[in-house]
Amino acid sequence: MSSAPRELLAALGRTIVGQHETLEALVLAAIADGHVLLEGPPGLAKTRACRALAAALDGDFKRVQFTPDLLPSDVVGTRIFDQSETAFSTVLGPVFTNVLLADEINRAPAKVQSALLEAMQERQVTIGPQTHPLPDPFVVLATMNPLDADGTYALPLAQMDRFLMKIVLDYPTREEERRILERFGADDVDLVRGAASLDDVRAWRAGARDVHADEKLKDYVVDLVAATRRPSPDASGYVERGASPRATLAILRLARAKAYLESRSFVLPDDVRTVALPVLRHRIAFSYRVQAESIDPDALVRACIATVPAP
Amino acid sequence: MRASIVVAAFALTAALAGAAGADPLPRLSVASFTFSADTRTPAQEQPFHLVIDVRLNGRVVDLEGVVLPQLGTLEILGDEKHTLAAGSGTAYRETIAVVAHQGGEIRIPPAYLDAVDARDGKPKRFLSNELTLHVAGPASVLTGPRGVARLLPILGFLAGALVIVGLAFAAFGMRRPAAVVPASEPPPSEKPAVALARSDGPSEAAAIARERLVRDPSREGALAARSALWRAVGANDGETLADVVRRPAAHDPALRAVLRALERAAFTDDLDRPAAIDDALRALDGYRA
Repeated sequence: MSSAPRELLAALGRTIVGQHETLEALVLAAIADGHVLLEGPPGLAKTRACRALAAALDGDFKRVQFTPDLLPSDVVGTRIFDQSETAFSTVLGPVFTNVLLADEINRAPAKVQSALLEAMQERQVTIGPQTHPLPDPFVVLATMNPLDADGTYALPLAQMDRFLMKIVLDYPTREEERRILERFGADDVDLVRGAASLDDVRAWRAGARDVHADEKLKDYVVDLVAATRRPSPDASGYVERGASPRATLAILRLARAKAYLESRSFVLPDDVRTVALPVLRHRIAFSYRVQAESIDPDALVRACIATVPAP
Repeated sequence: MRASIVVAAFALTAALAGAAGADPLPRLSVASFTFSADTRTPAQEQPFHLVIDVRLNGRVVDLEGVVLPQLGTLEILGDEKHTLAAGSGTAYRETIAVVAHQGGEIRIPPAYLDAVDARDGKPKRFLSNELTLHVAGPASVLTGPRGVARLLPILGFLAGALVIVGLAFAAFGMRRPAAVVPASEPPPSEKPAVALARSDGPSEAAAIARERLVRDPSREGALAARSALWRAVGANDGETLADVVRRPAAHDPALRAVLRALERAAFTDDLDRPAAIDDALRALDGYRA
């Protein structure tokens, strides 16, 4: 019997206290067939949320801790010489899973990041002479810790663009923290399993593609992305380069997923505006002034979004 | 109004002249510059809107440089700007969605705009009015006997200010009846929301929307009906349904049902539209009953 994406969201909510935006982002990523970048300080249940997603889908989960000495083969796999068979055999890496947690992705050098990001884009990996398709669905959830920036390798904008959205996590409210104490204070809480299946996810993806988007909304999406390329006078000194057409596609794809999650067969302006910030925030190149003047980049993105009237 | 602007504006000194050298000031003839709010008594955690209106003599394609004041403890949720040049005037409106997390009185200093006054060629800083809000909530200074005692001078001040503002408006109204932007020029979608809200209440708008929807059961008809209802609750066309249902005028659950039904009728696909319009008509009937 098939499940609705709302049931998956509810299952995640039974495991994680608060963090509603993060949990919804994980479900939307599954529906929209995309990958998520999670940024936030340690201890905010990022890893647990990813584990919870895999468990709720009855899918495979792998975690790779990115470090400066990590090699591409540690992620995608390698060929080793089997002396007993006197032949090379392929050992598939942890990327062959349904849900991959790339923990602290900015701690690995560029060649490892590239190997993973190529796998994310192509959904296949070539090891030696053979090309191996990745499991379907395949969702990468990458984390970045904004606090300890020493010894990190910043992801280039072109690679950030591969992530469908970026979610910024914040500390829980006081009430949520009390609930965390009550729920996790004594024993470890089991993850909710089997709230939906991998087949369900494939069906949701097909359903979301059929969600109707009015012409006015398509214009709105284009205008939103265009606004990042010619920001308002207040923001123009802070933005070096606006978002790419990939962002345009991503906004509409996520808006459709959002409508599908809400059990609607049509997209509303609210869907577009809601997903615009997580889609755009990591795709805009900000100038040095943002850091020098301690400007909140999200405030600039919000300002760009606010300049475009919704239909 | 010109008199009030001259009173509010002051000639800028060398600092501004220096700034003008780096980034030339626009040459503007400011006719009015007002700062208002949806409500002067917002509730804690209840979003509301601050509105800055600037009227200019002459056509300006994009007004830049209106500087928001410090909003104290208010959190900004969104900011929308619209500039409309029509006839021989320009209307600029900036709508800031905010929410108060703390109760009590909030005094917001004026917004300002630096420009060369086109009337005398001097650089000036044009100031709007100040805004004082009273946020109802647990931390309000207005609660308890001490709060009431503190409230009396504020009320006295407000009453005096209202009388002065009323007199100033009356004097201005007698001296200058014509608006900056000719009434016949602006397209309907850009009319100030407040004026529309005053002219057509939600009940009247629901009747108009129903008639339009019956006459034209199409996407365009649904969009027009939606637009009529939105204006009646004081919303701008550039907002989304989430903004609109947060407005105090849209708190009636039956009206919210109408707004949601019209949203579906406007944006659903052609196959579903007849059913969506039927639902919207039923919701309108339910609201009007």
